[in-house]
Amino acid sequence: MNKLPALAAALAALLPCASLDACEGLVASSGWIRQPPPGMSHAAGYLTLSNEGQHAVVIDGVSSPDFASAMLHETRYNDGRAQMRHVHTLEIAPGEHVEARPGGLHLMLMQPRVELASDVLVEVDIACSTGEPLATWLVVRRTPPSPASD
Amino acid sequence: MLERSRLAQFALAAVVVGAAFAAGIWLSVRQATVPDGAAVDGLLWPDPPRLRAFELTDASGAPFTLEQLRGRWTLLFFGFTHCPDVCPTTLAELAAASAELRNHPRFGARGQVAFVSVDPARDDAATLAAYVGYFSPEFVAATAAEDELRRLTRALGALFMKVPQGGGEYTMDHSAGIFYISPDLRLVSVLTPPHSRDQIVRRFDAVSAFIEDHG
Repeated sequence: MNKLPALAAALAALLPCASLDACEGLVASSGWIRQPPPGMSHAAGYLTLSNEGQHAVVIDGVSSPDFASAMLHETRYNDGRAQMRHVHTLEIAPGEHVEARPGGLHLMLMQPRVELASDVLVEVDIACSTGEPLATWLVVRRTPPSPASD
Repeated sequence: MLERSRLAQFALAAVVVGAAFAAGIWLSVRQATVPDGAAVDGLLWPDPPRLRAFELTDASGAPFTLEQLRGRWTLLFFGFTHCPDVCPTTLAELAAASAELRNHPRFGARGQVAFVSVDPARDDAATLAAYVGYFSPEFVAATAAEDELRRLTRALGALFMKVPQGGGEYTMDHSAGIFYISPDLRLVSVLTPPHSRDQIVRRFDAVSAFIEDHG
């Protein structure tokens, strides 16, 4: 999965990932990971999570077969000071969406098991209080996607 | 004869009045077009803090002190390499901004971006060099023992704090502003996060113009 050719990776990254049972209507899109500098064992991932179902979705964990550890984190600014905190649960109301982006909500991905080269896809599974986990794929990028390609 | 003398006096008076009038216009236009400190967004004025002596070590092992800041503009950012979100995001924006600022007459070739790690326990020289080099080979990286770091952060009004995360892991809370230090070693502005290349460049242009004219 992680060695897909670049074209396949790009195409896959554009596709929303959802199944009927996955987190009851939760859809992930626009997922990407900022390529970490050489030797760094952690990376931040970003994506948009939309609740297209009829009920509120409560995300209560993330995991990844491609990293030893994955967590949902949030960077908060308090009087100009950046604070990174673990987000244990995240509720998304029906019809609402949450955008994880640089400087805010993000996936904290540690100790990669794959080489995080540009265009490589990594899998992240999002667990919810109901339904099966949602499997989604994020593409490794050196720079953020431009707004037009979101 | 009398007529000619009166004429000369009149001409002289006209010249004096005209010159005074022109000077008045020039002064009023000048006052209207030169902003005071409060009109420059984010400028620390009229008393920008003057930096005090500190001694860090850069990624090559050389001292990084006031002398490395003197005579050039410096954009300084505190962070640490185990920071996955705000630090790489800011350094990427700083890399884009500094590439643009190389063509700026007040930043030019001597201006610099300095990354100061507040996590000396994990950020040794080799780690720092690899980390900042990924964003720009021109970036300077430096750190020091905690006490020495606090001499610098106190002078700039910055903060950092170790926050345990369990299992022996920890993260660092840290000031995430970009600190603009003038060539005469004064902190003249702090740009608050989140950062973008355009904001970084615009802030530099505005504050450096004011300092050059009035500093």
